[in-house]
Amino acid sequence: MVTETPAAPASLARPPQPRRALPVGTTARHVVLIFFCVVTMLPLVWVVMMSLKPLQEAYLVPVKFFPTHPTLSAYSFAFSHIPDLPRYFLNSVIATTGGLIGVLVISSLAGYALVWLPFPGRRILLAMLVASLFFPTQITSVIGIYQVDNDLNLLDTLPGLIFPYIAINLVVSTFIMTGVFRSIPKELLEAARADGCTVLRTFGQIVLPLCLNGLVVVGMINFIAMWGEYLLAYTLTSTSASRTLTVGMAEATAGTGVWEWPQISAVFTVMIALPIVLFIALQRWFMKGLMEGALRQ
Amino acid sequence: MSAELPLELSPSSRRKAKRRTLGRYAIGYAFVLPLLAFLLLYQVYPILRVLWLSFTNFRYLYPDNTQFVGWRNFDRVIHDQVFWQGIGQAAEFTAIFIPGGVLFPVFLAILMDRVKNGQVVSLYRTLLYIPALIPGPLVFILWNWMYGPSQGLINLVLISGLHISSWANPPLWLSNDAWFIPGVAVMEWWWGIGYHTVFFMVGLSTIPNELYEAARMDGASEWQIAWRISLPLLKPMLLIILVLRLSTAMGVLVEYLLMGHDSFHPWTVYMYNLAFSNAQPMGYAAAVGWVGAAIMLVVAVGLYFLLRPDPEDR
Repeated sequence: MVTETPAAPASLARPPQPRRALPVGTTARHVVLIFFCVVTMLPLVWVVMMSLKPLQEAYLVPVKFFPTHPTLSAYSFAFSHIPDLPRYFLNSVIATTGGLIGVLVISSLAGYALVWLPFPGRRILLAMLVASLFFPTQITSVIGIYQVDNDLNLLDTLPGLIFPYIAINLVVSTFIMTGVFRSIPKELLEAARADGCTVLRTFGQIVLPLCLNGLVVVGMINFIAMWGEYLLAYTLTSTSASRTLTVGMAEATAGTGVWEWPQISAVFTVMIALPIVLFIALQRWFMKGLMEGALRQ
Repeated sequence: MSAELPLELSPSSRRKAKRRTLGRYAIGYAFVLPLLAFLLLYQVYPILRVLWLSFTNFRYLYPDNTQFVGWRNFDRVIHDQVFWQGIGQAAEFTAIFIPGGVLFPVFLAILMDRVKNGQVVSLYRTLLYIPALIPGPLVFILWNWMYGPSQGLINLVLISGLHISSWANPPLWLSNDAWFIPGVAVMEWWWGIGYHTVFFMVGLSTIPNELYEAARMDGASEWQIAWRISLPLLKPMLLIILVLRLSTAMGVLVEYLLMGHDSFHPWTVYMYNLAFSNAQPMGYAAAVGWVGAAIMLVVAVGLYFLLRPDPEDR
């Protein structure tokens, strides 16, 4: 609005416009946006409030939104007294970390090769990857993945979960990485080559550090997908040897569990806090990564 | 590279050059090898295995009795009432979910695109984006509680907050046949709202500002600008989101496993229960999966041709 002042002479020709501090349209716009933000946040605030309630308050009818006597006892009880919970938590951490490392390494290697390393069959491979994105067989393939794990004796083991986690997320991740690598200037790679840099060193020491934003995008997307994955974890695991926290939570809430409400909410809060905190910490790089090429395909 | 080579090549140096190019190819192949290995073992092979299974009478517990049965499984699927009802229920869910799942984000993106203050926009965007940071299954678990008749947030807001209905006779939501599918759809709206808004905001940011200014000069109202300029230029992004959401909505399965209800049996649930239930007729389940996937593919391709940007528009 301030920028309009230099054009003041022009306004002499037009009827003078009334200047209001906040036009009705702007106010309405913000009211609508704030309403949507509040509605979006409400469920999460509610769970956190539930996790802070003492037991007897959680079962009051009618239930109250805010705890009258907030306490952290549900958190300490859940992680010290519920059998298998620490083990489930550890399984989730291992499966997610393993899957994440696998996807990041493999998709950045492949994405780089698909953009900058010439080899026969490159275009066909890229086209097949893109086509497979539109092939709606994720659900159907669960039957086959179960059989592969069965054949390899990997049912109910963590590698048996990590391998499919890597595989099902690879295509999208590789695709995003090709978009990121494409934004690298060609001259840079030519200069590196002229200086006698090997392909591996160019990739590791020059290209990757420039693509951190893109790696953050791929890492974040995969972290969310793997941290809460249910279908495969539920199908491929059966004991605490490899059951993840999501499956444990689902069991606990299905009515067969012995967890109390505030305790479930406490575990839930911890589970969702992790990706949210991570996102807020990495947000700057995430948004830059999206703009740099992850979304512009 | 070739510029560095001497113009006249002796046979030996030519052989060396050839070996060097082979070496360069080798690096490229080495870089994609892990990708190919994982995709072959856990994506391509399982799908082919499911394809083979669908032509057999394979049962998980009796693998030795497996026989090739030709198209018989597929013939059964085509005539299977339960399967078609399942497709119908998935389509019903999709039809309820898609409009709100797409329109709310478009609306919010257009609103946010007009907000000039960058910090305020980023605050709105972050708050709206937070549900997308929660893994799907956890969203389903959360909303399952929220719909709870006596403890849930929805009834808390409706009854204690807005004084609609009463605690003596609260709405049952997910246990009510009529409300289950819309209830799941509303949950999915919540889950995707910020994620899709960001997509559409990226789409809007590609629209040059001069276009808006020119329209305002010509006296266009904000509604006209949104309707005539923003929306048509969002079409490519709209297409991506629609195709993407169509296949996730038609493949709705985990929602059922976590929020389950007797009256909701999409085809995916039918397939899953066949494959992993007691008798485990996996061969037939595989055929169900293939027919379902084929239907989804046909719809997605149809949608693509319906909405693809006209070449003349560019």
